[in-house]
Amino acid sequence: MHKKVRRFVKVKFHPVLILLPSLLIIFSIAYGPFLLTIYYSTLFYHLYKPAQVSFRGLANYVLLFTSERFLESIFKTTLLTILAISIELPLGLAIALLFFREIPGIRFFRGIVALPMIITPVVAALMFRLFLDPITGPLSYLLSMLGLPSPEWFGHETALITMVIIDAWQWTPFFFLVFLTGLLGIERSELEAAEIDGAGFFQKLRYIILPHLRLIMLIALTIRAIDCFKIFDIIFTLTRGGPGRATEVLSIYIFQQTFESGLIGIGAAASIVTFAILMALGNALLRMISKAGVG
Amino acid sequence: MKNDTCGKTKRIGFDGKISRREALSTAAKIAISAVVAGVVAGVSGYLAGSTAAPVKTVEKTVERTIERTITRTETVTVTGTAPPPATVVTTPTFKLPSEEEMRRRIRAELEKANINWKKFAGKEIVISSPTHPFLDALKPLVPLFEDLTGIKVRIEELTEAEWNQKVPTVLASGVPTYDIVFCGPIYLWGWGSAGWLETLDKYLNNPELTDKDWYDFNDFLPATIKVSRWNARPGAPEGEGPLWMVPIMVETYLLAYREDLFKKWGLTAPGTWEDLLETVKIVKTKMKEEGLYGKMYPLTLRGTRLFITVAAYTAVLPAYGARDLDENLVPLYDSKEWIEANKIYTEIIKEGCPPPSTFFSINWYNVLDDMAAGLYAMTIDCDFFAATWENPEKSKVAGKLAYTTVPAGPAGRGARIWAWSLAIPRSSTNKEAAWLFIEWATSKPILWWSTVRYGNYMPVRWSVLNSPEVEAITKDWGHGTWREAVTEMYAKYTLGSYYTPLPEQITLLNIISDALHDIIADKKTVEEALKWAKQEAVKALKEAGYKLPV
Repeated sequence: MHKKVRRFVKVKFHPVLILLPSLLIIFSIAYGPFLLTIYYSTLFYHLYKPAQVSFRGLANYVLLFTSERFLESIFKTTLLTILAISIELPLGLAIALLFFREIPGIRFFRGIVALPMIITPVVAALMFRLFLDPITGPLSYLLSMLGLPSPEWFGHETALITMVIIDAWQWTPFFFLVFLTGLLGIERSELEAAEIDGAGFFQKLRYIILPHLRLIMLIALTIRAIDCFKIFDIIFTLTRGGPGRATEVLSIYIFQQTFESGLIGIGAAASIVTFAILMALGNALLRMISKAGVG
Repeated sequence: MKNDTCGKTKRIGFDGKISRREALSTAAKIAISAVVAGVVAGVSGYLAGSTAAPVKTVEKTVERTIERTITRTETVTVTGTAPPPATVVTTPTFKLPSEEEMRRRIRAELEKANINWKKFAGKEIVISSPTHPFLDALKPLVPLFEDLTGIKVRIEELTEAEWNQKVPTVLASGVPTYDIVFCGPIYLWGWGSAGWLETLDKYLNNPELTDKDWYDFNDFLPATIKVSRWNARPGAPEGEGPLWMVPIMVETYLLAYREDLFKKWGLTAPGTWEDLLETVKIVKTKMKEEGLYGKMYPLTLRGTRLFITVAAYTAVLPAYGARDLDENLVPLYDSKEWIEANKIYTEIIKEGCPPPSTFFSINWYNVLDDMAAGLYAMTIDCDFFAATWENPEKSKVAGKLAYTTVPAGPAGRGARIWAWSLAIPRSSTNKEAAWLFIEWATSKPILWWSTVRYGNYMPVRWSVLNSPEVEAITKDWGHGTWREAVTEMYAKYTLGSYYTPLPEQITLLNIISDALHDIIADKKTVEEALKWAKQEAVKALKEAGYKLPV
């Protein structure tokens, strides 16, 4: 009996004991703050009035879900994510297909295409501010040579689209890289066999390439969707959520509530709602990934 | 038993289809939850004790400053513009000889102070600052302080957005991290009312730490001291109560205009906001006649969210006698005066500035650059932008501009100031050593040197602004109009912060920006937009815990 217990402890708990220190660190870094955020979201907690902290249950959540401003910011974030990804994904695929061939020097160009990704978003935003400037910007100059007016890049109706364009410029290369990796994994012989059988480009795309890329596409989509939902730097640099509240996405809303207004309770509640949305989104996509994995 | 365990391990890791799916799904779930947890941690991480993050830039900062001192020594030559020694009348009486000689003289000036600079030798102080030109002007001088006092200085420099998040969290944690933080009126309203800062009168009035005759506190521009004294109660007026910070750099706003174009078109500088509207209309017509309109616009002002409310806007509101909040902190955005000021302001923007969609993306650095590029005939923005505009290497309009005070209205003339200042956190463990640094950095010789040598505009002391060297450098700006306008502004028309001191003021300014944007884009009338702004502001203040009688 005694021996059995010892063996049980050794076999069952030894790995756990070894892992414990690192698990504790990981949990305290990743999940500690998370639990604390849940706690803060139930408080009236004002950064600049530390003496007035009080518990108020779900009142912060009620406030959020009755706030037009918050609901609109969820809508804007969702819209931005959908628009950005529906540009980035097909475009990334198209560029990957274009670069999926052996031409001398192709590696160099693949590197060039990936460049926007490594530029700091703040710098990218400022670059676009110069590029799109209707008076001095190169784009408006080109358009004026064609006799066209410069579009209203930062108007109430257009500013969000401008943010989508900048995000697409920066993150299309991500899909490009992922798809290129996927394409390089397809057996050449498979494609050659299809060609011998008389398959055209679209047939190859439909029956060989896309099925091969499905899994990797879903994974890339999941990462990008979550990332895009958190977009902050570009918008903060260019418009701070304006004009009006036209580009006030969730992260801008949370930043302003937490750090500018000092309303930590409301900021925390908004973070938890964001977390729930991302969790739901992530789970839905994961289910698709699992299915794709089986298929 | 042994076999059993092995079997299990094998099944989890390497077996057939189902477990691969499981493994994939689990791995992805972990990855996603880690990423998602990161988002949440973004807000909460700061509050959960990550606040005591170590200061990184230590040794490097010091090394870099020394390098900079050397490089700048070779390139900047102020000597040429300094007047001959015979005309030097006011103190300090330097005339910028060699760097070595300068150091010696500055040191001699500092040693005239009747205090023991070496009292805290061996201590170390940590300063937190956002990246800003004043820091570039101060850094090369820090070795002088270390030499004089034996106190070691570490500077932690962050971008403004990072700094904005990190400092409140560090201060809120109460962990001794910084001994000096850069501060300014809006920051003071939050940090001061939260009880994170130390009041400074006890250091200023301690003869062991401050030689008051030598330091000459009355030499500071009055408005800069006004914004630094406050009772730390939301809504309490500025200028009363303890001293929380000491200013190191100040700005107010001036009307700058293209004198060459104005002469050609027979125009004079607008003295009132009504005049400005008329002038803008005439300039627009003239530009259209000459085919310039579109390549150039009559006027530029800040237009982005928040920034639209902090420059010229703070001059139009007082000109019409508008107040932002009443004694009970109820917003007065729908008052007659506020509406009137906003009507003329938005009309001027609609007439003279680029179309709304462009206007909304104009920030202060666009005003600075585009005015220098000659894209506008007029602007109302920072006084010290003249240092760039009047420099032929950086500007196409050098020598073509003239300056005047901000326009007046029925209730008079005035504008707010912004003053970057130095404050001591309550959590600091080296408060007296920190005060020595503040006293040193804001003393006459150091402010004077950082201004004439390293371009720290605007200096916060009259003696520096009126020193023969600064006068020599700036006397030709705007053919003499700049000095006149600046002197008049700081002597008569600077109002302090203008907005009511309140930790939530940025939130209110964002709401006002949103209303202004709606008016400028013709989405709402002035009355509608401001009524909305009032409602939103009342809501925001109630959310923040204020009990308003509305």
